[in-house]
Amino acid sequence: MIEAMGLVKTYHDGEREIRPLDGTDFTCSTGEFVLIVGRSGTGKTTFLNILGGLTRPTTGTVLVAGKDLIAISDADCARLRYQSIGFVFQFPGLLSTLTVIENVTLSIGIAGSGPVDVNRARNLLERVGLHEKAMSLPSQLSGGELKRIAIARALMNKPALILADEPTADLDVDTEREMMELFREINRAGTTIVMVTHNLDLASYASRVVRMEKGKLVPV
Amino acid sequence: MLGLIVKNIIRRPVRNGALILSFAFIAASLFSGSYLLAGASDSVKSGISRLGANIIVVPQNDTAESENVLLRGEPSTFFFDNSVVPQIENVSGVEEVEPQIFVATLAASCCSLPVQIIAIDPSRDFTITPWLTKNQEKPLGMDEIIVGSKIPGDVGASLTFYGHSFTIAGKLEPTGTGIDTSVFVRTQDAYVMAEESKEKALVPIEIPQGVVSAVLVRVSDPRDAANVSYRIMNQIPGTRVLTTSTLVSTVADQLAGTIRIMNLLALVATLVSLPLIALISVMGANERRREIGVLRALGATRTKIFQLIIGESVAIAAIGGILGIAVSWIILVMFQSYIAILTRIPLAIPSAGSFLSIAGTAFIITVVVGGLAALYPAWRSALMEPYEAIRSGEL
Repeated sequence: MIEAMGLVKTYHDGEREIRPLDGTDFTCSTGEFVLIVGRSGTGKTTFLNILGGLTRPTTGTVLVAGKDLIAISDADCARLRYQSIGFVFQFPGLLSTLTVIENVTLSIGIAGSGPVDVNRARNLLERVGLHEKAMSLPSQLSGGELKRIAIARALMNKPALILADEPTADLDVDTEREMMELFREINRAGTTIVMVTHNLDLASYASRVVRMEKGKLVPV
Repeated sequence: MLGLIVKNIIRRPVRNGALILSFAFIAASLFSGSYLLAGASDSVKSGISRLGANIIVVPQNDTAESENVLLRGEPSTFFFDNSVVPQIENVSGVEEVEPQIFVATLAASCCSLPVQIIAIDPSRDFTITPWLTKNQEKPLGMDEIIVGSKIPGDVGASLTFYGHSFTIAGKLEPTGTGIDTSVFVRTQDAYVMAEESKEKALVPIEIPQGVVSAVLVRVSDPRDAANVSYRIMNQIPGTRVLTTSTLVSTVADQLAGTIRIMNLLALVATLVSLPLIALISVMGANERRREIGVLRALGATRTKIFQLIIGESVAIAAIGGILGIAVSWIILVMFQSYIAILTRIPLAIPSAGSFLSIAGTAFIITVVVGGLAALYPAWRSALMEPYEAIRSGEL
């Protein structure tokens, strides 16, 4: 599913060079649930965004679902995200002007073609336990509810891969457990998950755990 | 994507409301000037068409007064010798002529303002008689008058001028010109009225024998009207010729100041609003960086982001354009008479064709301004790396 080799990412903060990724290698098979742990600022989010084609590495190669993310055009990369990748960010990322159901079906309106499958959206909301909030606006929901809706949105296009960046940050213990159960259920249904977190307690939900250290991934 | 554009506009009412008002102001400024000019032009054309003449010959020294009578309904009395009538008839290209006598009343029982009495000869008239025959199937009788649309009184009512009583035989449709405040009488009745005024009126009126005020001319070939006009002025000294185009040009000259102000207003509105709208669009795009990043993560291409931002701006401009045109149109129609008095021009409601053309042009310019204002933020947002947009923005 994922094959990343020698990923290097550098930024410049004035004269100073910042190198969050320094020759990172990573592979992930279809159906795996990989947890990437590490302290804040170690490059986990940058790495995840490279896997999703949201930013490009300075050097290195990334293959996702057989596509070379460095070689393909921006439009092809967008198509790959639409067809194969679901994102769950640390923030919910819902559009405040749209209702819950409109947020869940947003990708079809903005990137897809053909009719919106409202029934699937309703089923997904039911699956995350929020079908009764379909017509609510994001401002009317709690933080935990918003994150569950973000998961429903990520699943809308039946992606082969879900990239989740600290999805349980800022949640209470009970809501965190509910969310992780949901991710485990999604993974058992066949979706590959790569999740970034600083919370090693979540390791029990994953099939594999790796740690980001000094710009490289090492097994835990 | 259209649905997303509509929802984004509806659910951000304050920012978009301000933008809509800016675009409405641009559209209203663009629309109003052209609308006034078209209204004045259509008014003159319809007035001249009502007279049924291609050319109006007036005394050279009284051109301004005759324009005042025809365009603004400002009553005036002026004459020249009726020997010009056979001379005009003999000019090549002239088919028919109709002499008229203009008499201004100082006051009348009918109105608080003076009116213009126009004496016509029913045997030669091609202005009023055909209209009367068509509408009432009888010619103008003794002591009967036809009145313009702004003269109070219905058909059958009596009006007294200089102590002479007349009966209203017909009322003309509004033209927006001086005809609306004119009263048409038979020439022989006008002379009787003048004679009686010596005994009955406080201030008598005198109409000399053997005079006319204006000669309406119908030419054989309307396309040749300009040449006939030229020949009349060349061959008959002391005459001046008024045609539809010269009257329209007079009105346009008068309106020039107003139009210049309106155009300047439109230009200032556009020049001031364009950077403001662009700035608001840039600020809006900055505020929505994370939203743009999320959309990119969901699979939106750069083109889609560009289309989304341009589409929103164009839709806001379109709403503002329609609003501005509609409101300014309602105001112009409601205050039409007041504007006509203020600008001293005849003003009619422009034809549907003129209205559509003016409104369409104002609308298109407003929408183009909307698109241009959003070009830079749309381009910048589209080129932004999704991760950078997500990291630096707020939702």
